Amino acid sequence: MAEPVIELDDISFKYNGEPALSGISFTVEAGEYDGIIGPNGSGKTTLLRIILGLLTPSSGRVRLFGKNIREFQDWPRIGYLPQRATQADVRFPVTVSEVVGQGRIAKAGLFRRFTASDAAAIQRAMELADILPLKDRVIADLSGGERQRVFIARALASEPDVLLLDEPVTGVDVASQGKFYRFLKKLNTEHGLTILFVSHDIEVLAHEATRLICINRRLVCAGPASLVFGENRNLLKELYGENVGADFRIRGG
Amino acid sequence: MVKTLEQILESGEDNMLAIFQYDFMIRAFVVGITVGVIAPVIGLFLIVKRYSLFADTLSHVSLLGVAIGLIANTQPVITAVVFAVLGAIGIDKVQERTKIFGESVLALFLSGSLAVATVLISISGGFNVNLLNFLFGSITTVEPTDLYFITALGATVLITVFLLYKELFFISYDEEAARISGLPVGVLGTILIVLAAVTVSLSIRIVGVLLIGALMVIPGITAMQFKQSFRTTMIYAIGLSVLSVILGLFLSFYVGIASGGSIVVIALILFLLAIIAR
Repeated sequence: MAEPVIELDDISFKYNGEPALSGISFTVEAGEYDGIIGPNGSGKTTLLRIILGLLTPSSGRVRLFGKNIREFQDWPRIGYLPQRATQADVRFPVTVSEVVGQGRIAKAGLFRRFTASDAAAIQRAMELADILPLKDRVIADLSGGERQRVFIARALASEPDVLLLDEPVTGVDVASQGKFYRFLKKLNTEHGLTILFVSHDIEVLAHEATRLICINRRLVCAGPASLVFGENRNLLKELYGENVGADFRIRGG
Repeated sequence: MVKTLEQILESGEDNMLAIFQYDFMIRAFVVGITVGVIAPVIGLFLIVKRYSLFADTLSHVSLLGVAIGLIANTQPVITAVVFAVLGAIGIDKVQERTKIFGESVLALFLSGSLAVATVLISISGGFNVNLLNFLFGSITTVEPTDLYFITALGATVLITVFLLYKELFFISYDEEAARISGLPVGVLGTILIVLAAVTVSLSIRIVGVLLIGALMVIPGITAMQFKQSFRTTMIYAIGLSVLSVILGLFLSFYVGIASGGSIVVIALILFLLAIIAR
C-alpha cells in the first residue's frame, strides 16, 4: 500500500490572534477523490494553503507523501489549480503553451532548458486537457472555460500524483463546468490521480467526490457523501447553520 | 584624433558614416546597444509584475551613487551600480518588513535619494555640466573604462536572464503558483531586482537618470500591442529598443541634443505608430 498523500495531525491556525482552524486531523490516501466543503469563512481555503506550504499552522503537523512538510522537496508531485485561474490577467502577453510550460519548470530544474521528455509531458498535459489546438493562442483570446483548462494543463505538466483545486469553477459557464467535472473524474478513475477539491457547493461535491470532509473552523464530519448527508441532515445544520436550502445547494456570498 | 562636435559639423563631414570616425561615438554605440538590449528585457519583467516605477526609483538612487562617485573623484558608473543594487535590496527589505504600502516605499526611496544627492552636490560646489549629462544622457561622456565595465556587466545581466528566463517568467506571471511548484521565489525575486538595479545604473551614461525608466518601459508596452507570446514580445521589445537607441544616437550626434531625450522620443514615436497600426 502506498504512503498516504496528505496527513494532517491536529492542525490549528490563528489569524490575527483569532482561531481560524482548530484541531483538524484527516488523511488523504492515494487514489481518493475528496471534497473539502464548508461555508464561506469556514477556513477551507486556509486549510488548503497550509497543505500547500503557503501558511504555517500555529500547531499540528502536515505530512505530504509521508514526509514532514518542512522537509518535503518533491513539489512537482503536487498539482494546484488556483481559484483565480479564470481571472488571469489578460493583459499579460502569453500563449497557452507558455502557461502550460510553467508547470514543468520546477521539475526540469533551475538553469535547465526543457528536454524532449519535458516537451512531451507538456504536450500530453495539453492533450489531456483538450487544449492542444489552442496552444499558440494568447490567453487574452480564450473563454473562461478554455482558460480553466489551460491552468489545469499547467497543473498536470509536472505529472503530479495529487491535484488540489480551490473553487475552480468560479467564472466558468455551466456547460464547461459539466465538462470539467467529467474530466476530473476521468483523471481520478483512469489516471489514478488523487484529487482534493475545495468548494462551498455541496451538491456538486456530494455527486462527484467519493469522500467529503466538512470544515467549519473545525472538522465537522468526514466520510462517504451518502453517509455524511444521506440520513443525518443535522450535520448540514451544524456545518452551515439553519439557513440550508432544501436542495442542499449553498450559494456563496 | 577626437574632434569636437562643432569641428565635425563645420568640416562638412556630415555624411552618415562620418559618425563612426570618432572614438567617442563608437563607444556611445557599443554602450548604447548594450543598454538597448538589456533595458527592455528587464523592463518587460517589471511591466508584467506591475512594477514599472521601480526602474525610476532605482535611477534616482543611482543618481545618489553618481553624486558620491563625482565627489569622491572615482568612476561614477561604478558607485551608481553599487548604490542602485543596495537601494534595490533596501526597497525589498522595507516592503517586506514594514507595513508601508509598496508604492509608498518606492516614493520614499525615489525622493529620498534625490534629496540626499542634492544636498551632497550643493555642499560640494553645486550643479555642473558633468551632472546634467547624467540626468539627460550624453554621447560624448562614455569613457574608455566605462566601455569595458558596462559591456561586461551588461553581458552578465543578459546571460543571467538567458539562464533563468523560464523561472523569471513564471514568478512574474504567477508568483504564488511558482512558489507552490517548488521554485525558490524569494531568491529569484532578489535576482530580478538586482538585475534591474544594474541595468538602470549602466544606462545612465547614455540615457540619463530621468529617462532610463522610459527606455525600460516604452519598448515593452509597444511590443505588447502586438499580442504575441511572452518570448516574441520580448524579442520585439529588444528590436524596438535597439532601433530607438541607434536612431536616437544619430539624432543626438547630428542635431546636437541630449541622447536620452532623442532615444526616448524615438521610442515614443514607435509606440504611437504601434497604437495607430493596431
